[in-house]
Amino acid sequence: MPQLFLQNAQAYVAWSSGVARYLTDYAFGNNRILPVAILCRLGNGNFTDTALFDTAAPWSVLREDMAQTLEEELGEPGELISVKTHMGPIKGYLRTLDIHLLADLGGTDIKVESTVLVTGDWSGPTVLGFHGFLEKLRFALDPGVAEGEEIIYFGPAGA
Amino acid sequence: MNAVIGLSSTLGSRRARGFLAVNSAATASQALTTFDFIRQPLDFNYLLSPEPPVVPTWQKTGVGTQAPVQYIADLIFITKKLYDTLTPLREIEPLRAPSATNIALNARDKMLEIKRLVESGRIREARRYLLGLRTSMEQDPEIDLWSRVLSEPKVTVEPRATGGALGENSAWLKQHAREYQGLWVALKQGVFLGSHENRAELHRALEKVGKISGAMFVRLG
Repeated sequence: MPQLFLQNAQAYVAWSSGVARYLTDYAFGNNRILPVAILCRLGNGNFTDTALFDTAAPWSVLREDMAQTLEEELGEPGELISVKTHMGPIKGYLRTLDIHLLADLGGTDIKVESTVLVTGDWSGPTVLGFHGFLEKLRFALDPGVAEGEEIIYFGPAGA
Repeated sequence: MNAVIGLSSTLGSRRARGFLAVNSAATASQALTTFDFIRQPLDFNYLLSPEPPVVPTWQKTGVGTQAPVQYIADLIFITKKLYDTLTPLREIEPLRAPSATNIALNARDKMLEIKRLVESGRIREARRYLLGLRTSMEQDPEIDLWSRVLSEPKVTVEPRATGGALGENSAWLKQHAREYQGLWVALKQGVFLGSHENRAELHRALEKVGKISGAMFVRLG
């Protein structure tokens, strides 16, 4: 499988544990284009979803209607909080949820014991955001040359 | 009162509760005494102003503790200012043992502080604050809950790849996406499983007919 390496003194150490395709300019609903969308498995079920990969999002976001299908996988909700987004403030509950990134081009999946904001105020896609998810991942996006060549390398931080 | 002054406080904003630790007499570092400002939350703007309009009162509240601080430069500056202005402070009666109501109110204040930090996006600070609470307070279900949702994510490399068939499904999407605009679509290995305007309904429908395994959900615009 393709891998990325870190130079550590004289040695090169592979840091990516998995590789996957991602979608660019993916049209989600009306007037929403996701620059980078990746495939993930929410919870431990055997189905996958496409999610917006967004380092600028403070939290991962899960719509309430999707959360209903994952109720058994979600942790106990915390206090109702308000989070600022570029579309205005949204209110929701922080809840724990396992999220897997799927290595469809090589290597193995990774599981992130993450925290997501479950909200009824959001009609957009599932968002994979910074706190509680991306903050402990190492990743690299390779846009390739032609359409369809976009791949993401991922692995745990510090490995 | 001796010369050594420390400020033991969670400094997250310019308005915060302040605890002043003062080295009492000859007991040196063995016995720091904390002084709680009565005018709470302590207004640092007020303390830093050249001519404070009111002399703050203070009272002894017990043995001092150390808490992590974030802005060392602010801390040094404020501490110096406190030291300069300590002499004219007016001491009142030592604080009596807090009532159960006061303890509950205090705990509620702490929870609100965590919420405030989280809502303002200061997650690292919220985690540090929470860590301080966990070491200084008895077990509390609310603190446990905040600790769970604010804990750093744990990443595990799985032993296998379960695949996602994004390649095959992308090919289907290129051909048929326009036909299903505005709908959720479920695909598996490039094969259409179903569509619905509601993601949860589609999920339930596929579960009912035993087709949920391996399904990939996408919403088409």
